[in-house]
Amino acid sequence: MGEKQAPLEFNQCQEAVKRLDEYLSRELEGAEVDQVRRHLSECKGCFDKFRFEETLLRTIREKAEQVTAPVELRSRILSLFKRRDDD
Amino acid sequence: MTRNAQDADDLVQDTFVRAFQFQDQFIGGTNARAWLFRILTNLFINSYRKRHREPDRVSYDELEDFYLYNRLADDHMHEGGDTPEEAVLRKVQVEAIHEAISRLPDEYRETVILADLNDFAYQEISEILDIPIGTVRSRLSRGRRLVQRALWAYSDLNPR
Repeated sequence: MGEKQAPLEFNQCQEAVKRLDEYLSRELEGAEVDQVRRHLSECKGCFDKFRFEETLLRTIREKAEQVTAPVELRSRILSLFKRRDDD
Repeated sequence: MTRNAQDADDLVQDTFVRAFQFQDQFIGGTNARAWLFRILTNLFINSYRKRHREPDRVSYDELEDFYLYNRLADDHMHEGGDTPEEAVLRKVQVEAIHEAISRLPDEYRETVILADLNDFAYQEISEILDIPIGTVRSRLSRGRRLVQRALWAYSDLNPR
């Protein structure tokens, strides 16, 4: 495409925020990642918000994993494997 | 994906039974996790349809970008104390996260779980749930914001 970004800061923030969720999921293609990162290096407001979103997602992922399968479930699954082997 | 621990147990067990029954249909070298999740999801969808549950009504009005950040930043500015990031790191409890995710309507909960808790790619989620990639994107965006709204309502983040 090769279009130049409009010089208005507001437009660039909008463009970055439009890509927020894909950026967080690492679904952006190379050129777009660079564009977002460049904007984040230039705009403290967006930098803080994006970093917050990353922290929030990481926190959700880590804390949601703090639950192990109940012991009864694990032993039921294990005995299922065992029964199949014995057949 | 289910809200009920007993249902979840049964679902996982059924999944492994099916996986063993059909293991010769599994193509070596392809994504085993995605295949298992496909089975799990289909079983879930089948049992869901049988029960004909009424879909939850969701208000889409307050699904702004940076929902949680904006509220935490307000508090931080007016009352001092934690930055938004500090607040999240210190105050979001495991139970609040489970509560927030379990309250999501099914289609959002599935997508959030697959993307954010299990790290599946959009393409994989599209295959697992049998929906277009564009739908994965919009459900994930809304799902994440609904989680933020629920965290604000149900966790210690909200000082009120």
